[in-house]
Amino acid sequence: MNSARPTFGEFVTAARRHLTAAAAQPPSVTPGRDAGEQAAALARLSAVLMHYTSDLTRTINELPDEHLPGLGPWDRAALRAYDALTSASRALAQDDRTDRAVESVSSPAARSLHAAASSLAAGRDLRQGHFTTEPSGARLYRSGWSPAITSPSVSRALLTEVASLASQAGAAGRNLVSKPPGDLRADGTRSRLSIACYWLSQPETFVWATERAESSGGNGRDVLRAVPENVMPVRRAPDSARSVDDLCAAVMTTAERARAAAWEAASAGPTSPAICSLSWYRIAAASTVTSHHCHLLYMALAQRTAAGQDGELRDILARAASQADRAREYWLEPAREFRDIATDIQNYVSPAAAEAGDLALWTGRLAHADPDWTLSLGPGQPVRSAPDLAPRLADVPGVVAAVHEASDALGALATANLGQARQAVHGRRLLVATRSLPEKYDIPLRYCEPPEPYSYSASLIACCHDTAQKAAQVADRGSEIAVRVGAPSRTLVALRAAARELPESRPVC
Amino acid sequence: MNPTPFIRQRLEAARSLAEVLTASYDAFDEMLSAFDCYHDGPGPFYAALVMAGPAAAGGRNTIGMAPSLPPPERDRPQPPEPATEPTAQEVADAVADVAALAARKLRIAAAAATSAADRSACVQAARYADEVRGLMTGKGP
Repeated sequence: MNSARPTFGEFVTAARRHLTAAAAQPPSVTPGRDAGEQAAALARLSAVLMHYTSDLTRTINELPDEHLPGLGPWDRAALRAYDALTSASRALAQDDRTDRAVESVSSPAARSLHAAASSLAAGRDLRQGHFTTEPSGARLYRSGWSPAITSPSVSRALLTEVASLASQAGAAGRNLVSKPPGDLRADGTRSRLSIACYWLSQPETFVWATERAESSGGNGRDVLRAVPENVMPVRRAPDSARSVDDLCAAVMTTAERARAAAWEAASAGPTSPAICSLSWYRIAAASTVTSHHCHLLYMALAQRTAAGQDGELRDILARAASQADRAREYWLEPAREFRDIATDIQNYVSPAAAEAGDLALWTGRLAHADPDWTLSLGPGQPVRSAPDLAPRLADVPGVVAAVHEASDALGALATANLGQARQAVHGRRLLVATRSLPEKYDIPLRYCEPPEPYSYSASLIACCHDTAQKAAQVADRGSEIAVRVGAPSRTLVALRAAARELPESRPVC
Repeated sequence: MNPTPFIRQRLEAARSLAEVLTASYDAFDEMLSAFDCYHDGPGPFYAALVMAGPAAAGGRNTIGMAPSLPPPERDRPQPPEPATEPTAQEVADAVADVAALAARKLRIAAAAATSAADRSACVQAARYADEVRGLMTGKGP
């Protein structure tokens, strides 16, 4: 689900590899110089790890003192880890020669420690990219991943990961300290390294104790490792995929782009120029078409699993097919609502609307036999056969993932439409076709603001709300199937579950 | 519902800017009705008839804001109901034909319009008509 964007997990894996390499380095050939370089590298690594715990304790540190006794065990563990890593960092502070160019470091162990620090710093930057800081200091969400990242289960997973990395760094440091005398001739450096290694080992002790008292629970680690860089994945060119595997990948990339665009759209304020009823209509129309394609794909998958003798899965997929078919019907309702309204801004195709159109195209190519299928081809085009869609039963999860991602994106788009419709009402941006008003309104214009007693706005919001709820139900069914077949998109399930851990009113971060 | 030949005749007959705007506005509106009727009928699903709705609404709304568009007539002439429900292909062909004519008429009207707002509305609405035609004829996205 990350369409080739780097993920947080990749940086952690790289850091662990570098730490393993640091611990396995042969004895130093230039002991005095190496000792200083290794201490400086460990100082840098400790500081990066300390910054992670600083992120985790940011809101706790802002609490009034009287609230501190009420902290939960994981919050207390985060505070203690922060203190321990701060101590480790301070123990080596005089060795933290930031002016020393990493390229000029000659000790292989120090180079590995620097590399680990760089990987973790990049991972932290990646995580921070999902937030923005206002001049007031308040942190705001910048992506659909932000709520999950700040959820308790993912925060606990991060603390556990940081504690484990600190422990590994401490072990590598101890390994350097314990080299035969002569490797580290500077006793002062050796002493500081020993103190730092002690503090580096402490967070893991706190986490273990906390885990025994209150299990971290959830799939926080899966979500944490899957957190991608907060950039829009590259758009797939229309002729860039023909095989089922490539088409599934194109659907998933487009679904990600649609979710990101939907997040932006939903953040629009009441005066935003991005609010345009025609874009809502484009989203509703495209989602009608995508829902039809999800219906066709679930039908084919049901046939495929029936042939494979998994009756229970076949029934689940058949129910999902029916639900997607009903989704097509209910997406037509907002389409009809949007048809007879306008906003003060017209002729704007929002990124969310463009992505919704792409999603309709890619799901159509996956659902139909013709890989060059377009939205313009007439009705009754041959659909892709079940054996072509998933030649082996092992191919089913990949297709399920594509349909799941597509239906999840439709849920995000429906929510974006609801959010923008609310803002348009709030900002008095809506215009209605006078011809759609009751006869008693004799207005000599084609469009006008909805007259006060005429509660058009309430009906519009209710329709958008209904669509968002139903789209979420279809996405939930997709999640159920993804988990059932072990589809790659099941990370999305964990992401949604993590995001739901936060009450909406909770302050950001 | 099938928007031709009634709407086509009105578009053909339109000469002044106000007549072109009125006939084009009604043409886009009839396209939307044709799409609605198709969705409500028993015909097979046809993506282009769904996807063309926003373009038709865009064309209609854009003309609706043109300064030279006359006020709406409460009793405007209605196209006769066809004897039989047209097929998807018949709807698509008819809509493509009307959209092509509307685009041509609107571009001619744009060239003659004296107000920048009218000219802009005509040009933009012609683009929407092109989008509708593209979706109906297979030269769409």
